[in-house]
Amino acid sequence: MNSSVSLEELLEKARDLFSDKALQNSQRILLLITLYMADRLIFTDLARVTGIDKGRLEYHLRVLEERGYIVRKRFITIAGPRLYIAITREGREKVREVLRVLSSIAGKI
Amino acid sequence: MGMGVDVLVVAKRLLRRALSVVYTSVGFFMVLAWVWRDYVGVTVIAIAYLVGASILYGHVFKPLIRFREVARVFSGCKTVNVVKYLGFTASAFGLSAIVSMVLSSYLNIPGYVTPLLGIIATVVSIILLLIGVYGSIELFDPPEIGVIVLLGLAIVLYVVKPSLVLPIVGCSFMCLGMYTYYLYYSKPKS
Repeated sequence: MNSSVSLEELLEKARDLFSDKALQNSQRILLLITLYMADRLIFTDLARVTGIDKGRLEYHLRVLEERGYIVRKRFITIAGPRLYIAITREGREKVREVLRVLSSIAGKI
Repeated sequence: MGMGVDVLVVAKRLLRRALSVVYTSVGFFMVLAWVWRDYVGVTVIAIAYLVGASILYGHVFKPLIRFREVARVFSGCKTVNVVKYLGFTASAFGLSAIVSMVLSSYLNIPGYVTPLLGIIATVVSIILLLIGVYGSIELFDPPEIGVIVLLGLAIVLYVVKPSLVLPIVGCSFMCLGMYTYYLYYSKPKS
């Protein structure tokens, strides 16, 4: 991100970014970043890794799915087909944007 | 837990999963090379394994690429450019050691070339890890310290008793891999 951008502009950008309903909850941001790092995880692994209980996880995943940031897809593994939760291209872009904005703000403080 | 701490804990757990596969595989192939003593055969199997693993389980290794990007934002760990260059240097020496080991079966390569390249790769890897520790001390836990100890042990063993390097370091890497996987699999501490 351009270093000539002022802190106020960055904060404005962050406000716009986090006005998205999917990003208004810290657990959903955590889920998106987790899936950004892992690309895809099965439901139980996602619950264990993030420490979010399964009921809440299901709700958050529905919100992210509605926004098109994640999809549920079946993948073939050695142990047979497994239903994975995978991040979409839009989801990856959103996480990159969040990371860019947060690191720019951190660089200004 | 704060959001940043949460992200860092999760990122570290995902990194552990990838590293546990790396440590166990490296250890397994070291022990296989010791048992089989056919380095060309082991190299071919290792390459086939790498291709298979990257097709079926490529996503498991993604955190190795993305960890730094995420950790830099949430942990404030320093960006040390020298790490990148040292990483390339260690890989170049390590690969040269493997290539010279394979070629020594067909060409007349002096006996000291392979161990020398291997030792240089190991020393550079240790320096790289120490710089990593200095740059992001909060990311280092027993498995990471274990790798540094093992690499140091490999050099000492090579000087004292070279025939023990493959079985001892290989078995230790496999144990370290399993311990790292246990850390990934155990319940998160909150």
